[in-house]
Amino acid sequence: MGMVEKLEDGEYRIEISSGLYEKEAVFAAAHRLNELFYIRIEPAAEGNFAVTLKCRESQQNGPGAEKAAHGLLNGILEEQVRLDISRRTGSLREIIYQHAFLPIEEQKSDNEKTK
Amino acid sequence: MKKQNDGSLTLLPFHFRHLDRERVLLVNLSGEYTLLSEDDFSKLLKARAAEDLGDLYYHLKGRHIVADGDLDLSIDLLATKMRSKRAYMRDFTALHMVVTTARCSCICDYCQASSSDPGAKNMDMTVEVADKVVDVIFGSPSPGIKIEFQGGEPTLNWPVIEFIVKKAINVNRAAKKQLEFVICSNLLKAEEKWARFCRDNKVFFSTSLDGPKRFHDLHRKSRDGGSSYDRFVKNLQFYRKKTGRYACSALLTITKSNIGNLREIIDHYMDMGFRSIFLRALNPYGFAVTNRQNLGYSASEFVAAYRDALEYIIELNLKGTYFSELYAEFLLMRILTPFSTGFVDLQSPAGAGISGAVYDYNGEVYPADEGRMLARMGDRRFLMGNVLHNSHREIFGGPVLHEIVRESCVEMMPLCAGCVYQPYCGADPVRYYVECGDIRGRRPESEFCAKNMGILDYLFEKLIEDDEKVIDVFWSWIQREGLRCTPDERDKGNTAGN
Repeated sequence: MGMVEKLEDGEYRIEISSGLYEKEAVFAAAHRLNELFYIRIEPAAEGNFAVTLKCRESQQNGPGAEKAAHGLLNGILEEQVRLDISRRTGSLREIIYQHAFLPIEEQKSDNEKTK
Repeated sequence: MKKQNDGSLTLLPFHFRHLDRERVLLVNLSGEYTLLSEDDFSKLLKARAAEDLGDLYYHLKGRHIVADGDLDLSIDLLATKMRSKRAYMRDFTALHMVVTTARCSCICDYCQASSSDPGAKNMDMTVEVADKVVDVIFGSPSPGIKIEFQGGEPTLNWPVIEFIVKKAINVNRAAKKQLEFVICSNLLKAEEKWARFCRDNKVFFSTSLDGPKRFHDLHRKSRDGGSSYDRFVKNLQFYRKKTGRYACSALLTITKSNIGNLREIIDHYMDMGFRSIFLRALNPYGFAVTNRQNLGYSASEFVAAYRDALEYIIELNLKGTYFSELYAEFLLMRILTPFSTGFVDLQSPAGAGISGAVYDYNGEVYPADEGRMLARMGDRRFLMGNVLHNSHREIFGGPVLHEIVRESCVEMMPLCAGCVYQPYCGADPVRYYVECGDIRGRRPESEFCAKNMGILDYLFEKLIEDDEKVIDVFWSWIQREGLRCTPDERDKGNTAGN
């Protein structure tokens, strides 16, 4: 993952390795910054993602914005961990929800089958 | 349901959030939480066998974060807990808000319902409409029915209140549901026969109090120019005397005028004999939108004021005075107990329509009061039907409610899906629609989300601090009874209590 590059006109550009991070993680982390920035996500060299953040007019382009832009790096990492956990536990989640909302009669017969 | 397991460690579904550089909060599907150090969190993610976790294994297994040989049991337990917590979904629909009139004797600056003058024509529910309303209400399969009379000022159309209460009691002789009635009144007027009727039929009052006279009269203005506060106090005492001390509860609306004085307002609530307060933020509907400049504040201002007020309330309890904040009480019940807590504004799928519905004076039915308010503002997007023309099935099985249910499950909503507070939170599609024109909402910009996150952050700070005395206060709120003794008395070994 590249560092944050500060561009002119209050823009920040970050290039993200697509080999390490998934598109969903990049989207989810960027979405959290909606209130602070206008966000553009596009393909970059070597199949990577380029995220460009432009401060919204109502926001000051100060240290707060720069910190938030840097925060995107940690945000993507956290979202990727979330995705990995979700992938490892997703099938169990489906089973738990299905079991929790099954009508009682079907739940009983389901339990019988497992004995 | 059989899930094969080869004995290796299995990660169960959970949500997490880094609280700071050293601590990670984990919450499982049924809302049980635990706190891990960053090192232990990394250990958990890498672990493939129980031995990899060392002593942590038993703790995480107990919290249903991991399972090993008994995976089926873990799944069964989690599913049962989740089922218990969502029991409110079986009560479809329990809360029925009936607008007996759109007329009101007050003209509050933040009125969500954009009420009309008491002399306005064709703003009252007719007996014909009321009759159909009760029929539709009793079409609900819920074992409990609460009918809440709203307005305007509902007592301005007293005959319809009486009609609905009497008919509902009659119908219920066969239906045998748990039936409750509440009148939401500004208490500007009280009559002996109303009090008698309420006492005889177990009808409770819910009212509004914005604090001492200078705050209450500032935004809760009576249309005749007199002090609404003076009459409120007189009539509150009257109803309490006639119908019982706790037959009347009150709601506070926080505005820019009183947000800095919540401690004083809490004192005032206690002086007035209330045992709780609901620190309720301003809602973006009706006159509150028009007057936003004079009334509004940011979500961060609200959260800061809320935190300070709750600190104060906790202090009061620690000194031996039982007093609770109702929103915190309800969230703590969700966090600390396995029980179902149906709160219409914070459910997944949303409580709108499923847990509560609003019947306007003209028979139109909306999934939430806010939907009716939007209609008053000219947007009828949430109209589910009309009791004069539609059956219960048509109203509650129609496209409006189907869309709300489909689009308001936090488990699938952007950002909510990965939020650590998801098991305690919910969606408010009508509110989202008002905020951004989309019933799915946009969390990063949502005040609704910012306020709930701020309050949950505060409550978790307290729970993680784990001060035994504060936790005792929280449990006293959940159990709705005061501490048996103050912490000082307990430390001295005196448990006789107050």
